[in-house]
Amino acid sequence: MIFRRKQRPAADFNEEVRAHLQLEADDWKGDGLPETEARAAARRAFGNVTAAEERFYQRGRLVWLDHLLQDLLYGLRAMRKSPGFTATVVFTLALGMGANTAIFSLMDTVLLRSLPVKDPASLYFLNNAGALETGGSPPYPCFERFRALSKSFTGIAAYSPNDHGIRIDGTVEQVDGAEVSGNYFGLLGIAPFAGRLLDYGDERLDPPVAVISYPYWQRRFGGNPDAIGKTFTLDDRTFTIVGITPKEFTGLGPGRHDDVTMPFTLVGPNLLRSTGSWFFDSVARLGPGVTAEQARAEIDPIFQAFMNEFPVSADARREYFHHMVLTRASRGMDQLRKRFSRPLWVLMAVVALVLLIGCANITNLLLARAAKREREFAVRVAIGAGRSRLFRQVLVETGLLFAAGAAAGIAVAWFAARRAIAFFAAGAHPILLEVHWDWRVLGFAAGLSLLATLIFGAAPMLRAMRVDPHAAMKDGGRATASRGRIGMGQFLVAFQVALTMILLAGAGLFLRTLGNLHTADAGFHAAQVALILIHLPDPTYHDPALRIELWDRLLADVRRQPGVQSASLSFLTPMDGKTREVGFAVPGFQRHSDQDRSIGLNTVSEDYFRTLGTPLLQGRDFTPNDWAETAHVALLNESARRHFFGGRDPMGTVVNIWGRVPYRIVGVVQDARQADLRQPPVPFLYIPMRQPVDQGAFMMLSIRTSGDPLRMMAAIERRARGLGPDIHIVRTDTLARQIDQSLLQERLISTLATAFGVLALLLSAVGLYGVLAYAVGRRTSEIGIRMTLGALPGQVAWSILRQTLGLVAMGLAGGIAGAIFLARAAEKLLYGVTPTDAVALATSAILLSAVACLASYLPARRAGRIDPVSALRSE
Amino acid sequence: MQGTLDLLILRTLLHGPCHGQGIARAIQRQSEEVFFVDHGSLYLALQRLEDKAWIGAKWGVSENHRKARFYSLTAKGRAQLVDKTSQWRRLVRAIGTILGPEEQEG
Repeated sequence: MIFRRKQRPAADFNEEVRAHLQLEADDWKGDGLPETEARAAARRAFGNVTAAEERFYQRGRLVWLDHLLQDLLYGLRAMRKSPGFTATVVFTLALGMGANTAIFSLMDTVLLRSLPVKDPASLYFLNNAGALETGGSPPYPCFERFRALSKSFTGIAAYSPNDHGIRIDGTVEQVDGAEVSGNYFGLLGIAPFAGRLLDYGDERLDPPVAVISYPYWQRRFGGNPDAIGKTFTLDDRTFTIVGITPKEFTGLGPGRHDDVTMPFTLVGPNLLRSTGSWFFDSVARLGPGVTAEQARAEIDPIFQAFMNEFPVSADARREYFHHMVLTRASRGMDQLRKRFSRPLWVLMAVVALVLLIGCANITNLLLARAAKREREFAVRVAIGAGRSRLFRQVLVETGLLFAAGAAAGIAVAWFAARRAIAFFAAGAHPILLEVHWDWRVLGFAAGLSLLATLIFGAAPMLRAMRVDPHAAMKDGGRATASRGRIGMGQFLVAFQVALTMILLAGAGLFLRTLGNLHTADAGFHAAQVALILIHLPDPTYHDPALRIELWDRLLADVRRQPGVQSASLSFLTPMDGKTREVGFAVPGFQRHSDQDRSIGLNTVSEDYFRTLGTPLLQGRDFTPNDWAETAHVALLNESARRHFFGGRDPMGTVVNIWGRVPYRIVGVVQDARQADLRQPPVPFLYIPMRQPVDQGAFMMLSIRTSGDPLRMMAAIERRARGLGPDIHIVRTDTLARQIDQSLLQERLISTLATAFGVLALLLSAVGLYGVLAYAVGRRTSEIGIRMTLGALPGQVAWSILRQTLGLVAMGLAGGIAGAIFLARAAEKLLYGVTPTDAVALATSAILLSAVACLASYLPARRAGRIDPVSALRSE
Repeated sequence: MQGTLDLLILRTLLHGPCHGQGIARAIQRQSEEVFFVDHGSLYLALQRLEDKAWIGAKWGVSENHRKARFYSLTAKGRAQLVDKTSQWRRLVRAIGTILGPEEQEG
């Protein structure tokens, strides 16, 4: 039969039964029975009419679905009937699950998600590696040999992310870009969103073409299709935009968008020919059936031959350029993962603890409710409800609560994730993340809710199952304190206190870490310093003399502005994410390692140290008279003096950069942290802006202001632009924000850990209060009797309080042990504190004890105020 | 015994369409009052057979002008009847052999 026969309606069956009874009665009447007796006989012969009708109704029907619907409706009614209980549970779950889902969505985005490219699993980065670190790709000539000689890959592409100032419609603006080899898009299997993508022919740069990303197209061109065919200039080349990359693909670096992608040859013939420039990444796709190890075994000899042909020092070879490794590229480059994987795992653990604490509360509430409903269940069992049916009903009710919690949690997570994304995207080096609300995230929330239902709903469900109708009906809901046995609820309270202790101690440690980093003697004063990064692009400013003349005018102009205390220019500023090292030699200094051959270099103008607040220890600062025509001079920082000169006086010594440019030391400044607040200062050499060793097209203007530096920003930016054509303002910032940005992961962890610690404290307080208040409520009559027999209110209150203090003490002990244990696992994230830090542990313990005392005092006081007469009368 | 009632219904309908009450009476009468069929169970059995399409049903009017639902054997039901009857006979014979001649029974 093709079509399912229409179900026979129950009414039809019932009618048939009535017709039968009629016919049967007719027969009996025919046998001579009177009307009423005939009817009765017909009914007798039929048996139970209702049972037959019910069995007809249930025939072939999904009975369990019916029951489920009934249970759902019943559960919904129960939720509506106790709105306070429902709201508490759903609210707690919403926060707990929301936090978990939000952190998971971040983890998914940062750590787990694959690039939106074809077959990401077969993509690998070809990296050189040594004892110290794994780097990027070997130099371009070696890359070309890989391409020519290896057979393991279907293709190898070069990728170099770079930021550029491009000139569109007359103004120069900053874009995040990438230079890629012609086969890049083809290798990744990316199809254009519009126009075309790059290919080998474009590497001739004749004519120069570029593709832009979908987000940039939306942001800069408002999604106008005319963007294709538009031109921009970069240095002396005019590029035509020929295509737009698809929406989901923004390059190989998670958190960074390649807004403009250009041919690799743009990096210039010098870099392409250089056998000693390690500046890009190569990504390759394994051929079918080739393993990563086979491919590595094939390219490593090519690399070794190359390194033998163009040797580096033995130290460098061992530490950085020892062999080739293949690194999975399926999730893109791993800088972001390296930086955030530990913090995110810590946060995941934190939110899991918060959820546990919340769920412990819910279990307690459910237990209390199950106890209250004992009579209801007893009645239902007594009138014939099957225990499995009862179990199913409790399961459905619990599941309904957790499902509502999960749904609310997803809403919470959505907001929380948006806040977190904004947190990442703030500042001068935004990390652009996009959370995908797909099956992975929603599945996580659903799985979590199911797991929580089963684990935390089990005890209350089993309790409902064990109900003994006889005992429950006899005992009118009275209870006395059960001695010598720690109940489930009490155990949960101790458990909550322990978890809360862990979270508070963790928050304390992270807050102290952040505080230590902020107050550490960094060697500069970050407050009230405005920063403007300025670029003087080629070809307008190709002549170095012209650039220096412009920098001079800029400084003079800015220093004249009201509210400016001092202003300076420098290549580097603290925590700007850049580093610069040069080959360095001091006469008479005995080298011990490769490290002794180089030194950090910063090119600065006069007043740089005054502007940043770094004291001059010895000698003099630079002046505008330290220029091209005068003897070259330099300053050392304290670390450099100590390292290279030991006890000797460095003043007047002539040092060499790259063994050829001589500078005479004229002073020593205090150490200042440059690249990383966590690292001790390294040796640094400072040279005057007007006696540079290189181009100096990029300079950071630092301005110490007497008021809010942000308020001056726009005016100064305008003046800077007004100094000449094509002046490119790369970014504006304040030094304080730049420091904050460098502490992103520390801030992320300490902010969230504190928020979650407070949440945990709140939940535990609610849990403690709830358990005690419930116990006092159940024991009202017992307390009444005790008081009638002469117990004093204080004694009653104390007997309640004493119980909890024991639980809290147990929880604290466990929590302190757990906190120390877990903090050891996260020790790398700490700075200036140890996992056993007494301040953090003691503060958390005291705070937690105080809150616990308050939460238990209220119910205890109520117990002491019970009026024995009314308590006994309420029976 | 499972399936007995089904077999009896099918057998009764071999004579032609009949309503539920008629079937009940016929079974009782033909079995010399050995089988007393609980009418409720009979209707559920009828419904089960109808669901299996072994019998068909439609509303009609009884001999004494009452409204009644008449059941009739379908081709499928007829085939089932033949099948089930021979099964049943084999079973009875087998049980008879095991139990032995009647007179030996104590």
